[in-house]
Amino acid sequence: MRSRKEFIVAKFEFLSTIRKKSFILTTLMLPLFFAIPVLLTASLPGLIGGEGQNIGFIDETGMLEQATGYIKYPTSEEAKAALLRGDIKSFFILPKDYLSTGKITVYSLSSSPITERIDSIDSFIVQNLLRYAKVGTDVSNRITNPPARETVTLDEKGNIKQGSGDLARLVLPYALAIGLLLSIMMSSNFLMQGIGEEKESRTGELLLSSISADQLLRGKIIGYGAIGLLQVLVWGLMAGAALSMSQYAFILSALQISWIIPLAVTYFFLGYSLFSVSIACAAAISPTAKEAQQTSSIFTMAAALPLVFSQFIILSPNSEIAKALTFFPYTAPVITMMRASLVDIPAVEIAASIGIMMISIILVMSLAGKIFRMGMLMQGKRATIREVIASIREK
Amino acid sequence: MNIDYTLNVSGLVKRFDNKTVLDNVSFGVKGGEIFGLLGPNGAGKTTMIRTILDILKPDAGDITVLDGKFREEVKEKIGYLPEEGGLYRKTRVFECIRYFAELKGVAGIDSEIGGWLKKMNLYEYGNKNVSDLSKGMSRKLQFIIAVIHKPEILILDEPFYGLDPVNKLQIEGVIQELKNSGMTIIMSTHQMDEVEKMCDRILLINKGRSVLYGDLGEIKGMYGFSIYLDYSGKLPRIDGVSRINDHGNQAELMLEKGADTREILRRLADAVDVRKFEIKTRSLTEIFIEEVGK
Repeated sequence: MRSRKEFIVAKFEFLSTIRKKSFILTTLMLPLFFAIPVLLTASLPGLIGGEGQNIGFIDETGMLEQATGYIKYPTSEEAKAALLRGDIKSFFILPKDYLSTGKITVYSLSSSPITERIDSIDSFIVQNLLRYAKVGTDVSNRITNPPARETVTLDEKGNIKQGSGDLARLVLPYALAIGLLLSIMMSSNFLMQGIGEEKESRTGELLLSSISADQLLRGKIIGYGAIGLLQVLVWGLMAGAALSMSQYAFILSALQISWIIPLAVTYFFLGYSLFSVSIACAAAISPTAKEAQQTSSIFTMAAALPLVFSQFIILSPNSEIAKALTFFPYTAPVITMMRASLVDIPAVEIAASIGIMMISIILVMSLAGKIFRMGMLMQGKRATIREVIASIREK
Repeated sequence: MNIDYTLNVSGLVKRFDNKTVLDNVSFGVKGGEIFGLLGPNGAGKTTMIRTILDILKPDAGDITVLDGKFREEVKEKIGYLPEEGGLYRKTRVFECIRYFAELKGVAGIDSEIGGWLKKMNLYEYGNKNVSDLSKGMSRKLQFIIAVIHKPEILILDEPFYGLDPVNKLQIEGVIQELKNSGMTIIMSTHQMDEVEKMCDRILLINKGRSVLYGDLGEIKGMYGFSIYLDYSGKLPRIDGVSRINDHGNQAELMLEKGADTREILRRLADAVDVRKFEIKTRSLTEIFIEEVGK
């Protein structure tokens, strides 16, 4: 019966939040907000009408042949006139001493020629040089298409390590670390909003007359945790769909189940439990949503700390600092995922890190109910340290 | 402990920091009665209610509810109407009631919810957001939330707050119906006329201490009588009258115990033009002012 009440609270918070316009907009519009510039960039050459057809050139070396999309002009004056008429978007001059200097001059009406147009000119010149030098097709293809690398790691005995070439091993930990951070940020934001509204409407007193503060807190954590997971899931699916339609679709097929996935899931739930309880208490003892945001930023900053040190951690994943952050409960989830993508973390370190996190959660939870209860009953003022300590000491 | 009491509070002490908010308060509430919890602002009434509801833990003393120590399951047998707030403004009226009912351990009671909405003239607002309701309608919605799970004990904190006379009369009637059905009701209010009309027994607390406790009729009897006077002229000093509330054309004369009312009437008739002379028991408002002002 008692645990059922937590799920009643969780269900109510979940359904109330996912129906909010702000949630629907954030969930669906944020990926589009990021996708639009990417899609625009990807389709830019198409949008501006096929750059290859609009590039002129003056060849003083005799090495270039007119090709589809490239118009040869005998003089720079004629090319300039064509540019001003709008027949071409740009033109370039390949000077007589090109082979010794490697320099060309590109003329355009825009002060910053588009990267794709420059890449296209470079590619056109390289292909013509290869043809001029009579390089065979196979070699020519390898020059224009760089090698696809596969990395194999050997152990001390010279055997190939299992999963050493698995892209999932590299990509997944980072993806989960960022997913965890995103989930914490989004869930804590909704949690703070929810608690802020509850304090404003003074529903806390009525709720606490029906259920205990611990149950209420657990219900909210489950509800808002589910909201955060739903949001990350939607974003993950949208990113997956976008990847599957792009040239990077091979990344998805490379994602395989490995030991790192259950580890990531464990840290995900432990991390979320610790952060959400801490943030809920910060929100409860703050009089306004703005102050709640400021107070809880301590925890979100701690979660993001490993990303701040990422350069150092990539260079020294087994350094003392990296190990210390693995044992600090508020940085452990993200740092462990980052280190796991770079080195094999000893099992004893992982076990100690998980153990410390579990003890921390039990400790924080045992104090949180009392702090949360005191905060929910307090109106219009921030709880002082003395009041927080007094609430913890209460029977 | 008196086993006749549905709610028994014994030697209750509650402190915040070094301030004692409730100081050794004891009282009992009998089953099926309306019990008035009275006191000036800051007397400790809200702390008392929160402690009874187990929202706050006492520093000393015992609370026995429904023949036992407070247990989490007991919360489902208590209904509570807080003085202010307590509603999710962006939630639909029907869903708001259903949520609180589920937290009290009852589900699948949509027909009961509909019945209460009809009874309180709120049925057409069932699918609207709580924010669409007026202050009076919101108060009636809170009342429904307090009683929807058919509690054995109902705690009402200022139940008539924000209600117009028509709605006030409606809530009065519903409270009487609930009392007649056997529900035990604790009512905290500043509206002394309502307490006089509805309560069987009262507890008056001031500065965290119990000042008056017992049967309302007996308490009023202890305070003797008053004379309500409609007059013109200048009131004289009269033996047997302890205090006079003089409003110009009307006055209340508080009588000492054993005062001779015939003699007082004679003295008044000699000194002023008496249009109306009525002997009544002291009003609760007067008793409240006298005790709190001590």
